[in-house]
Amino acid sequence: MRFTRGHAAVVVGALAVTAAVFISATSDRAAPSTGPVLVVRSEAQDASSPTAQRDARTEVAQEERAMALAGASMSPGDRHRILETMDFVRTRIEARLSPLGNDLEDGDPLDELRSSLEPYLPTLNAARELERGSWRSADLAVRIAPSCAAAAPAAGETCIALWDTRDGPPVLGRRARFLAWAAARAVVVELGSRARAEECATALRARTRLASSTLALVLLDDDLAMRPTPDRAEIQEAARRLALALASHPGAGASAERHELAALAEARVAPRASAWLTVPPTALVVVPRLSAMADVVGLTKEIEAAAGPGARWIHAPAAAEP
Amino acid sequence: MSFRPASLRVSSVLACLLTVSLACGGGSTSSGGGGTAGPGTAVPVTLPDGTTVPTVACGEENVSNASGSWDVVASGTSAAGAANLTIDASSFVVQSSGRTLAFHTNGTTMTLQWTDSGANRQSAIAVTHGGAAVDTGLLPVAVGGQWTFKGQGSESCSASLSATAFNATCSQVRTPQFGRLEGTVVGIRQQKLTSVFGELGGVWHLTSAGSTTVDATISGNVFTAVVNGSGGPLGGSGWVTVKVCNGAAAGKTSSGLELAATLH
Repeated sequence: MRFTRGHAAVVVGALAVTAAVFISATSDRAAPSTGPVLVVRSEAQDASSPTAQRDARTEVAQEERAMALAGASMSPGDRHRILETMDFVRTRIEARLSPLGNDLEDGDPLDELRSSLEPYLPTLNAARELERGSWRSADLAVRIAPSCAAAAPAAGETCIALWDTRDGPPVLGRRARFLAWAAARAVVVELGSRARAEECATALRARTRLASSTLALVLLDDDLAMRPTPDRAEIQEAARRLALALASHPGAGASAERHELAALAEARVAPRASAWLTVPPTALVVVPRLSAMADVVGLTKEIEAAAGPGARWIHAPAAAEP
Repeated sequence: MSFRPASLRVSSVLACLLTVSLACGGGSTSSGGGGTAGPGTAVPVTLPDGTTVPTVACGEENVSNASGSWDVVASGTSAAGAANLTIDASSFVVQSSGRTLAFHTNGTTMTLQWTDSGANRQSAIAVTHGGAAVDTGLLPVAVGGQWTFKGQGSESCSASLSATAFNATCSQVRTPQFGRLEGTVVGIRQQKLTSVFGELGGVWHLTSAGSTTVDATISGNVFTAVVNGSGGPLGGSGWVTVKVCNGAAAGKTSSGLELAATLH
């Protein structure tokens, strides 16, 4: 039999098809049903639509959970510093308000509060975004769920994997993951033992306060379980009293701080934060800063330096999707 | 002198500046600047207390083409949410929370419209533009020259931008974001710096009738503004920095607001 150019083309074609089928079959591509997912709906912008209007009670509850999560993720030393700051600023405000009092410090106490809390703002931002659970842009509505089955997508909704960037329609998936950045860019590291996980968490949490750090939020499974910290009641009382003092403070523009303090004061111990996310006791969740999430190299270096050899990425730092 | 974080009002103002800065990062091969542009070296910006404004990261720093539609997300105590920004040589549209600001130009015809779908409100603003063009590098919309804006009532603004000077005067303008805009802001370029934004690159000093001043540094692919003062529409002291990369941008402010954007 003569081997013609036509035969060659058939053979090459068959090999290509076989290879494609083989690669497809052996790919480690994660099905959306096996891990956290995003459920995405494209919709026209309309502020009056039901999905556009966030329920006020839902927002308050989310803020309370976020504040509790951020507090739980901080070291005892950081929580003590925040407690001291709240008491100090409240004392200054009360001294200014009292006809018999005298604030001996320079500057506005509100500035003092903002300045002292500045290193913790990335942690608060990340906790708020992680706990939000749903996000919306002008034309997309996105919600997170443990799996497609649990999400039960409605007609017109698309279920895509949170961490497998090859899943789903490329543009829609990229945009949805960008909106849900705190969840989509969260890093999960397996440390092998509880002691190593705690040690690594302590080292990374110290870095979240540095202006040069890429890190925002570091969570152990205990934090996600919202187990109360020993100083919880004391911090909540301090937040409540400072919010009251700020309400009488003559300085303008304290509404955001009061809102945040009220959420901290009222934060209830929820059953679990970010219920879509389950990690073993030997693992860590690290959320990067929004303003640094593109710095994958920096993020990887910071985590590797604290985690040491032997750490295993469950979800590695991810670059922006092409 | 102690440098304090920005007030909340400043952070909302700066959130707008972030968006505007991102718009300035939009590139277009049809705008004259075109093609891949090296960012040059962004100079560090020193604050009054001697520290420098922190840097941000947004990926590949050679801006090749940023025209198109951007998703923008912000996270902070005073502002959080998402916006869509579409920019090219003939349009600039920002959409967020049911509100839209849309500018379109077609030859000599220009339209500017503010829509609030939640309040079922739509306002057309008359626009005129003339004067000499300014090399704005990758900026796709020609912002150089003289501008006038006139609302349906007595609201009006006029502005001019050259390579070395900026001037804006507003009368009886009320905005949801800035409150009332009244008076004049004057800016001069004190030093020229290399930037992807062409002649806009440099150190700009802006003053108004109040005690607030703004020092804006546009260098390489980074826009940084330092606000000094305690009055006027800008409220208090603080800083904002935004870096524009290839298909992405990132920024943050002294009040803890963080921002990222991606082109889709």
